[in-house]
Amino acid sequence: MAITAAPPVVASPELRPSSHTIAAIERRGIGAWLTTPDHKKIGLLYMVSTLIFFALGGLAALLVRTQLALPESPPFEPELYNQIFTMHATVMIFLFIIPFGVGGLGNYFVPLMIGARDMAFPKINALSFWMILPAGLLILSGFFFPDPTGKFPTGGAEAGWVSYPPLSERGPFGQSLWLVGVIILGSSSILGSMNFIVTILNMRTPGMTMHRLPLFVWAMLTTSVIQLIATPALAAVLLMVLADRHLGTHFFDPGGGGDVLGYQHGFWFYSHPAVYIMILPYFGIISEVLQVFSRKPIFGYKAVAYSTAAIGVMGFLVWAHHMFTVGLPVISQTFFMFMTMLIAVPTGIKIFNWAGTLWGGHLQFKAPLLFAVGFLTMFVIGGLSGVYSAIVPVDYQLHDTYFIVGHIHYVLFGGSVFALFSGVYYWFPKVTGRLYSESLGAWHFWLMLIGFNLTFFPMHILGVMGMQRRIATYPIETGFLPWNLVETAGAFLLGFSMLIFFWNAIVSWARGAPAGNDPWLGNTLEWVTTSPPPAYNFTSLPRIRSERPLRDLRLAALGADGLQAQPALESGQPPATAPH
Amino acid sequence: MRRVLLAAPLAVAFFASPSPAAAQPWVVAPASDGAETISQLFWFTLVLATIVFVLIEGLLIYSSLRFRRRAPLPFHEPPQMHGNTRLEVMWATVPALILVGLFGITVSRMGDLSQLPTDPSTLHIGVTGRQFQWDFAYGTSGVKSTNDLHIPVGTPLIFDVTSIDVIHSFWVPDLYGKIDANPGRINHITFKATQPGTYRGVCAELCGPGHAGMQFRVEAVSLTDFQQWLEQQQPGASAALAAPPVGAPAPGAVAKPGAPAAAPGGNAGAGAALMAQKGCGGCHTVPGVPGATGSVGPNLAGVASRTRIAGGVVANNGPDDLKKWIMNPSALKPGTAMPTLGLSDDEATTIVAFLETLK
Repeated sequence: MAITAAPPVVASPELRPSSHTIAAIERRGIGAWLTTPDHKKIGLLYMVSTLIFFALGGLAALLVRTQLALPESPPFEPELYNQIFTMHATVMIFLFIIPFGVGGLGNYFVPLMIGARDMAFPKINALSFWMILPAGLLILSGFFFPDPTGKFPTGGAEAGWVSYPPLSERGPFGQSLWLVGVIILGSSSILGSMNFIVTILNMRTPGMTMHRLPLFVWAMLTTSVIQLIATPALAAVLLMVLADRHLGTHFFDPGGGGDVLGYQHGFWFYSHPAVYIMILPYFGIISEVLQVFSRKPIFGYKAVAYSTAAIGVMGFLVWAHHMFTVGLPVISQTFFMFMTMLIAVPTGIKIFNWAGTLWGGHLQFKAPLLFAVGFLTMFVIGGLSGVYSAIVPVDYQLHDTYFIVGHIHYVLFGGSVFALFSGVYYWFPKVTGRLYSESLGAWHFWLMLIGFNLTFFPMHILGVMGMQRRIATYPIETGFLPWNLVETAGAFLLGFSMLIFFWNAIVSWARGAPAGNDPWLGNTLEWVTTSPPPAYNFTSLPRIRSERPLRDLRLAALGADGLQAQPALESGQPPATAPH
Repeated sequence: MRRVLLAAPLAVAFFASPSPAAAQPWVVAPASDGAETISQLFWFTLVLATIVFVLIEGLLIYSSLRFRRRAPLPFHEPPQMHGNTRLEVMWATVPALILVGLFGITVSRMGDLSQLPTDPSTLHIGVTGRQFQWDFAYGTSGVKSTNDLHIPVGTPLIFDVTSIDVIHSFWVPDLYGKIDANPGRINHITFKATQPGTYRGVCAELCGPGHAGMQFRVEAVSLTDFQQWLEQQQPGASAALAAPPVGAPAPGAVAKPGAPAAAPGGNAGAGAALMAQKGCGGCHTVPGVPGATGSVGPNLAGVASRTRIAGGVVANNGPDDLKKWIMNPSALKPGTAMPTLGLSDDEATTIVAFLETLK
């Protein structure tokens, strides 16, 4: 036992610092929530509000599935249907997956995991959040403006989440609201990412070198750099569309000498890296959860951290694979195909390292690990279906079909959302101080897994059969009916599994058993403090000697007490600390 | 409510014949040389992806089952493996090599697909998308058609694709991949149809409320049949060359303005006159209606024998369907360019009686 005793950690109220700023943070009531600069309150505001947006986006998804369940004579007119699926994607991407991962979990846990008291710029942090809510409401308010033809009561954005001009330059007024809303969301992202970069680089507790950084924080750092570089491109092209609509410019209007493809390059220069903004924080969650619930260190820490960074860099060089059918020269198609295949390599490295982490572990299949393994198995399908559309000629056939809709949902739902729930269950005890119901968590997982596959797997088949995406209806002769019916049934099962989640979360938050500081025997610093953490986060911090400081603490405590139960009894080796 | 009523017969159709028309999608029955190449690449990728899928999913599921612990002792830990450089190198290089192989194979085929043919027999077809219909122009013949694309089998084809309003995407799944129709730009695709038949064509890029309805029909026929069709469609020749309406007893009985009542076809003749009066010929070429040589809308020759009209959006199973369509087109195909003419019920009946003779 060559373990030096680390200082014991006590988080008792007696040690509470008494600075007046902390007293301000400790205020209670609605005013405290509206004015808080505290990263945990802001994180929670992000999580709760984006979960509400998630529910709205989910309802829109069910309306989409209702529309397509049967061919011909669908319930909604095409104008309204186009608005529904535009809102579904916009809300899910810009108001749920991105802000929940970065703004919600990132805000709450990055300072805790690096042993900081708050973000570097708490007030900018508050500003980032308070831009999200109005922007979201602005986007949704399009439904309350009249349709230009006067045929329908709503005039929301109806050009899809990609909003390609010239279509988006002709749409109803809601399209302008959509553009302004998304620009505001982008500005919020830029502010947030600066805050994360400064916080992670400067506010790590002593001893926490870059190679002892929790992998979730590595993921947040990479995500923030991507956001900072990519988002201005999005804001720029959206502003140009806005100018074309209202100021009489012709950036994307061929009639006035503009070029419709300019928008697509700018949009995808953001939106492909944005795929990594949508998935990297969730990759980070998987790296944490697998370690804790297999009772092993991550297999290949540096490989996982560096592959994250590699994905971040290469993600900027693949955008035109969304544009293989716009008529690019063969040479650029070849380049982007090559880069697209190359970026599969670091992603593959991560998958194999995660599998290596599971291998030989003591797997405890609580809800976080169930969802993490669900993530691994589903994300592999999303990755492989991506290879088809990387093959340029095959993409000529598959582009803009339901195959792509299936692919994106295996990546963003099978990937991001499964990992998101893994993280939500993992950190639920820390945030609420209470334990959730494991059996309801398992029900949620299995119903979600079945519903998810019923909904999204048939989309690959429909895409190959020739069902193009974003159509409001289809003729019965196409033979699309049976699979669409299966998908709609699956979607409602998926929706039902979400009700279980919301029920579990609300009831457990109100009445769950107290969780204690560290119900999972975690590795990272958030588990050293109380659940929920106090406003100032920590009273004292352990010395950081590896990427798993809390495990070091437990081992040290075992050694000091001379307990019989040795940590590495089974392996017959002395319980070494991490070699970093 | 209509949906509920539809549900029962559709459920029957669902179990009786799962996929009537699309039983053989392009991956199984490609109908051109290009589609054949793409299909081969697809199957190759499918085999490769399936192998990788089985290996990785197998590894994940095996480790999940093998290393599951119901109630682990809290302080017991398995061996702490921090990584293995040899494995890392292996699972970085092996997938990279597989992908480089796939890349090489794809690039070698892309050359063939993008090479525009120089064969003198090559036929250029101009494709123009607009909300919400497709216009086709055949080489230098001056012949145009709307929502009906006629192509010869075995002749190299080059499609020059563009749009006059928003972005559309020209796609016939059985014949080739899609290519965007961008306003202000012209894109080219090339292929040679190998199987005669009727194929479904669609718009694959969201272009507004009529997107789903922006369909067209492709007739791939032998070169002789195609040339015959082309001659019939020559501007100015249509009225002369088109067969007289079936059901009219003699060529002389073809409706003439001013003499509708004399036509033995009964109100069919009146219908032709009415169409001339309503100005249908401004947009449509209509055999038997003098001056009806428009090319904005579809040529109505043979409209009665089509099972679907309006680019395939509207079912056409008899006079009632056709009547519903001409009385209120935008109700059946949102965003259609066909105006609502405000026809009375009688007028519509009369016109349909004539249209039904265009077999």
